[in-house]
Amino acid sequence: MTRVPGPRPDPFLHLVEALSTAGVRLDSREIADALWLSRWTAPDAEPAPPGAPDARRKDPAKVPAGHPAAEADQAPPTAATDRDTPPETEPRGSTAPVPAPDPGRRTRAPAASTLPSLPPLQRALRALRSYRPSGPTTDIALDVDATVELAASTDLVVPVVRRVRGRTADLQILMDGAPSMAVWEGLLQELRRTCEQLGAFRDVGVQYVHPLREGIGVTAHSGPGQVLRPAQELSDASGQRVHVVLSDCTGPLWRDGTFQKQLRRWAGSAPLAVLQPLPHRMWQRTALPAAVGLLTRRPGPYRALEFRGLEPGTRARYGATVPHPVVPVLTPTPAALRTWARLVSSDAGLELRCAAAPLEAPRDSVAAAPGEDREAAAERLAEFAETASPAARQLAVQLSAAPLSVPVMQLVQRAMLPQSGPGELAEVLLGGLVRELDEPRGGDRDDGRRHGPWFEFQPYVRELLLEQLSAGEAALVLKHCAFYIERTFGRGARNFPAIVVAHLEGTGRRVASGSGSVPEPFVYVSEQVMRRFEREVGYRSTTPSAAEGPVAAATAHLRSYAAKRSTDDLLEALRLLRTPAAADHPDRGRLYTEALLHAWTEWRDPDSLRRAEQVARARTDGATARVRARDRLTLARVLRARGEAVTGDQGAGDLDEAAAQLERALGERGLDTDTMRECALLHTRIVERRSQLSPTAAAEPLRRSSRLLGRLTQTWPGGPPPPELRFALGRVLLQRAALEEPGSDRTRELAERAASALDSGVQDTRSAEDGAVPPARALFDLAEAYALSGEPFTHPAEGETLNRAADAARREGETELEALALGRLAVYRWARHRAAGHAHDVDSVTQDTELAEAEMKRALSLLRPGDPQRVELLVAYGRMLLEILQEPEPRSTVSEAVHSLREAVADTAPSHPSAAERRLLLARALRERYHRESMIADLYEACWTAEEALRGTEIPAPRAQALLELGGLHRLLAERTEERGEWGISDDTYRRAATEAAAAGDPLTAARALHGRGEVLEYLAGPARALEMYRQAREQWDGVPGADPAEVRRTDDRIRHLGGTR
Amino acid sequence: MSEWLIYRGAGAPHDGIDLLPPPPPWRDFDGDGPVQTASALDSASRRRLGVRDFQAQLHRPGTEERELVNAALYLRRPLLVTGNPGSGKSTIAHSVAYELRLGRVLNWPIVSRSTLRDGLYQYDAIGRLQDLQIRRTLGEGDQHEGSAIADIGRYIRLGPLGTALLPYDRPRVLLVDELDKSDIDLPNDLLNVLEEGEFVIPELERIADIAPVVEVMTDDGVKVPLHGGRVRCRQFPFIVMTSNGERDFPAPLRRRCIQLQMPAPDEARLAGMVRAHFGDQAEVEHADLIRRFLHRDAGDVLAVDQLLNAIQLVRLMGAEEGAATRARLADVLMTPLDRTG
Repeated sequence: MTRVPGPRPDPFLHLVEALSTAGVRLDSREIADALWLSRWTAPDAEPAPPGAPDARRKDPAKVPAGHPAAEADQAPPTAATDRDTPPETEPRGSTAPVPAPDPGRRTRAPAASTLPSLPPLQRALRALRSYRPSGPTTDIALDVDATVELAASTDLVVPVVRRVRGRTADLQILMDGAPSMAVWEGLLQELRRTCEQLGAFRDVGVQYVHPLREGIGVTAHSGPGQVLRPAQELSDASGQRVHVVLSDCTGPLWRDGTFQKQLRRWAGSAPLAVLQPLPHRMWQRTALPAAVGLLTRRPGPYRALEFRGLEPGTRARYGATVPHPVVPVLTPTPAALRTWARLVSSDAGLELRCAAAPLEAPRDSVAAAPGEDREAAAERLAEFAETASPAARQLAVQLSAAPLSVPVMQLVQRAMLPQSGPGELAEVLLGGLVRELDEPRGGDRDDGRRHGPWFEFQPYVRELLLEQLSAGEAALVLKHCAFYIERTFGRGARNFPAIVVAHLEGTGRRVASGSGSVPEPFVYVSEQVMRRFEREVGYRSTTPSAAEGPVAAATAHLRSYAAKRSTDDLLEALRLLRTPAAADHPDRGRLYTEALLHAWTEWRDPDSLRRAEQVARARTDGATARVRARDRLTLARVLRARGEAVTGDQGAGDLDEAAAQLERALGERGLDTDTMRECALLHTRIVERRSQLSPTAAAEPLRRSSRLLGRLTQTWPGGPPPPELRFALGRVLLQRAALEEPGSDRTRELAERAASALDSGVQDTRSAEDGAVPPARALFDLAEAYALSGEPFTHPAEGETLNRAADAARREGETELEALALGRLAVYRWARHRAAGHAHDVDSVTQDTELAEAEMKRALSLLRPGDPQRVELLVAYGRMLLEILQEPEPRSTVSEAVHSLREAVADTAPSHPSAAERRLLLARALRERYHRESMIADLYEACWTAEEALRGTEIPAPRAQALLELGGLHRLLAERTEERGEWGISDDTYRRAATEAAAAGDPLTAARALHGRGEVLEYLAGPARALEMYRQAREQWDGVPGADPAEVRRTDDRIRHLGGTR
Repeated sequence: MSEWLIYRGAGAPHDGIDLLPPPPPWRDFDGDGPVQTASALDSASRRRLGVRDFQAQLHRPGTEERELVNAALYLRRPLLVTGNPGSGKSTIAHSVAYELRLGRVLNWPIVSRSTLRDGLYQYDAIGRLQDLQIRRTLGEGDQHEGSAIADIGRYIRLGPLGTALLPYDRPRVLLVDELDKSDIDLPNDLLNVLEEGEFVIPELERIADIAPVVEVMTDDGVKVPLHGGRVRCRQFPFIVMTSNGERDFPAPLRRRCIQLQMPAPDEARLAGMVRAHFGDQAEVEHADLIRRFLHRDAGDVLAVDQLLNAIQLVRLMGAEEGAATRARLADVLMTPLDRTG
């Protein structure tokens, strides 16, 4: 896509490029739809012209998903902006099953065709056109000739009809859904196309077969996770449906006879055949062993075919008829298909030679599974080499360098052995060398399924095969894997195969690799390949000080890696540290562990972490005190890395052990300051993570951590402690404060201590000469400490600190922190403004509100939709806007409040503790909008939202408030629609509100409810009843100390008006 | 305009449809001819939703459903709803028609023999031939040539899709039920009509020079005049196409629709439906039945209708029968749909 030269790039082109990089492939009509719609979904009234930056920003957030133009799944980006391919759409947040891999995406390289070319096949199947099912035909058509004849002879124009036989049979292709059948997807599509173009069938359908409870289930979509329907639904007794089963007959459904049972039911009434894509020599090993024989079709309507097998040892003599139902087993060749077509369609009876198999459960001949050690692996390989074709053997060797996911395997096969086809791949999969794998770890949640099905070599088989592979071929295979990663996961993913290829080539080329995760097999297979071939790579020295041996060179490489982040350096360092010459060096263990930790961070290889732990543990037993502390530190790092990667109890255990190791390290004498600092900081981070994992058990570790840090900061040798320690101390104290009762003295005390620690840290940073700036996190914590140390929003320095925190966060690129800081700042600013009373002139009011709104908007734009923190901000924003509306000259629109609150409610789970309160806020916002814009739909929506709030909570006080709001809404409805019934509902609701408020001990709500009831009764029941109600309200007002005098005066006025005295 | 949602799902009728902005230029149709107004809501819609007097409607769409319905309204595109049986797909059309006061829902149930032409119009040629014969035999001939030819209008009846494409001032609601049961050709044929928003009746077009205006019967049972045999919409109808997911639709059709996946109804939705049909207290009384419905096995398919049937029967039985009988009946009524034995 060329850029239009000019002062500014065209925003529209920018939008299209951004969308296609994110993997959303749209055509021009859909983009136009999306842009047009985005004009209307924004809360402001001005429609932005399409292509303006506004539209672009609102587009991802506002365009509802599910529309073809909306965000798709995490689909891979395409290098070319291929806008005319059909998009994959998936509704947001739905549990929709993962869409099938787009065949268009896979077949970029020319694929070996699986079926012979189209015309012979069509000729072969042409005989099916004359198949007539036995059911009645109901088509009638006008017989023009007979009509004309009749008209000519009798002078009466009366139409003559006759029955017509059209294309009345259906074809149902049943594709076996077993993982090993994934390679035959291409065959399925070609078969379907052929049959559709044949013109012999009214309808051609494809169903995928999976196990369902005790039988088999079918679904129209490929891929896992579909809703299955029982296969009985496809049964058709009238013979109109022709079934063709495409399967290699090796899956579990065949082995336990379930499939055969189902097919027996279908074999009698309508034509049935099994299409077996595996080569002949493998047929006897499947669960449907077919033999050649004579198939007989009796004359008349179709009935089950009869089969007579060949007598053993002969080629033309047939034995007795086989009693059980049989099914013809066909290869996808024209000859076999023609035979079957002729048999099916011949009304007069026919006998032809064809292969068939009886439909009975296979006699189990489960061989003892060989063991899992090297000898067993060698045995497996030997057996495979005996029975497989040469191409399959070659393919197996090539695949030893690739992860065994079906799309990757197909890609490698197409690239390395283009003459081979799915048959050879099926041989590898079914030849006893591989086993099925459940979804591998790593990658996003759906990646495993989307790039599957997954297999893995049996233990040690891959190693043995790798020995037969040459370095050049391995590099080529890895290159294709790298290409696959780039194409399907995007450039932002960790592309370890590419790094390995570059390293093995030795050209020093930098490989662009991101940090997105990919499934683990990509990593550990590439690692295995690298270790196999790195012995052959010469000892290259790029740094001058290479004379001192491998360990020193490795240190140099590690330093260079730390500076330049070049993966080549890291790999070289790892290789050097693995050489035997380095094994005796005292520093080797530590350096090796560090390098392995870096490798883990870079590309998440689980092997690295395991080995790192081994080495680190070996080091912590023995040697002198100084080395011990550093080694403990290294071990703690490893344990922390693992603890963070693994979930559940095991992860927690790792973190606990890491913390314990650090505490022991810090307890030793004679540590240097660097080590002390690193230990302390690591300890803090571990404790934080631990308390996130299990908040209930966090108090004790936090206390230990704060004591440790406190001791360190006080007894720091040689001057003031480094600021990071103070920041860490402040943070831990703050977390302890958060665990206590909010507003209690203990909280205040802890918060004050935190504030002082953080403050001194900030001062230290400022006074240092190198002009460093305090980190944003520290400033944010300081502001939070101020907030907790007194009444909310009263500390004078809080606002200033928040401002600086936001600036620092923006500089550091921490968007989430910036958003939180800005959000809090907006709320703070507004709260201060409100607390200062109405003694402001209009200008300062406007300025304050505008500033607060702007900050809040910016904060919201930085967080992703659906983020719980964004929801909190939305609620705060909505509340703020509702209060702004009460100002004398509000500048913001009420719609903005409605939009934020509506989004907040939509993203709040019904079981959330504040769900009812948020709904109530939304109802209030809708009511405000109704007052201003009189859209009755707002009232209805408010009613319904308030009712939901009421239903969602059992706590008396919010219930009373919800009822109060609901009463008011019904009253507005009554006034608008003039329905008498509504007045009654309003009265009843107010009464309930008053009762529940009194029971909950909330006299304010009770008073308001009674007043409201009085107003309703004035209309419904007359002044006497209303007066009584107002008197009760007045009594309640007495019980409310901080009542708004205006409200009380209103009640008094009504009482006076109605003639009572007070 | 401050609120972009036209259809709120609030369950009470209002005139929000007047606030719908004009369509995008590529979906703007200019059907001429007199502008029709749609007729009132019929009893099918009322029964479906359980409306009672002025109580607000209790069909509460989820956020996504609401947004997509509105997107379809704005963009003038059909809505393709996929979901299990009984998950409330058809109710969307009735709910929208009720709330936005769009009149009677035009219902087009699809079977494997449905063709596009049946949905557009039906022409009873044989009946016309017979009537002509009879009239000629009885000697009522010598009618004015034009009126005899224009008489054809009596034998033409517009189907649901044809009626939806008449130039109304407010969009009609068309429900195409169970599109996945159709023949292999119907989705492709449908696509063309939906893109163009118009169709032609050749029988009328042929005689356009003699009889330019012919009156035909619509699916609502009223007569409308057609000019030159062409029908072209003014407001693109709001079309809801439902599917059980038994077949995959061709990509061009999916691309031109807005796709909505209906999840199985959750507790709040079920409770709302039970309240709508049986009153506020029913939700509490029959909580055990609702819970049974919700906690079925993941693979079982149960329709909401089964739950409502079970509750209705239990209420009618009253307190005389024992709890065991009630439980047994509820069991039978709530058998999963995909179990045959």
